[in-house]
Amino acid sequence: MSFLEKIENLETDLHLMGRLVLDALVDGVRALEDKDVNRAIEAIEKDDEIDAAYLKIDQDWIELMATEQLVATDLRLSTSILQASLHLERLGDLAVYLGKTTQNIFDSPLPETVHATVVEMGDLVIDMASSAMESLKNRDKDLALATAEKDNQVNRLYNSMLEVAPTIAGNEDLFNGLFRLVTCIRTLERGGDHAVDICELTHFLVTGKFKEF
Amino acid sequence: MQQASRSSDYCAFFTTKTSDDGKRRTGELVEFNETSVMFTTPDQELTEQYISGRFG
Repeated sequence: MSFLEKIENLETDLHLMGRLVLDALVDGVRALEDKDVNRAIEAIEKDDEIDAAYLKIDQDWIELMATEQLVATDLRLSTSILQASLHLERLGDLAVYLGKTTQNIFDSPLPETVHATVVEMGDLVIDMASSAMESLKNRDKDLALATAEKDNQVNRLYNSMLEVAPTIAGNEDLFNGLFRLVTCIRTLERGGDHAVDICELTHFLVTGKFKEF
Repeated sequence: MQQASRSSDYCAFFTTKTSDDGKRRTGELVEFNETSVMFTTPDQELTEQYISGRFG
């Protein structure tokens, strides 16, 4: 196999992994929205496949580095693939977390505003992760920038919840739900950051320069 | 090429140009640059193609 085919395969594997992670995130967010414990299990169980995909990319990348002495665009692409795979792996962990939260809150009353906000943040993170991967695939740095800017909305929702949460913390019936959802909000905020980091990789791949979005 | 990238601070990439009638070959300096730039983000597309093994 030529080195060009090896790089192509590595990139194909990354986008297959991206598809898996997006499916898991959709399962996680929908499970949490509908208190659907069966869908929560699907989000959790996809993680083994995601981890296996990550390990394969990691190992193939090491072999590529050791044998092909990549330079210039090839070097930037392969390095971006490796880094993106780690961000995807973390987004897969986020899907697991949403699934586990669903298992912990499905029979608890939930504070409605917080529940709705978690779902809204979840949908935003899915949208950002999907566009970030598309920008990487199409070498589209404009899409990368536009996607990264959506993180402002994620951060706004995160901050608004930090203000709302203390006002209902005294309600004992809602405490379990509130506590679990607040930890989700924190995890989703980090999920947005992972998507932004993938957008930065697109910019690096296209321009050769690192730019913080 | 790997030796050049490891042991130098600056690099030059030379190639030859063939005349339209195919009779004359002339030496051409394609790019002179810092080695770190040359092997990561070269200025010339031809340099990129050569160092990444697309030809030569």
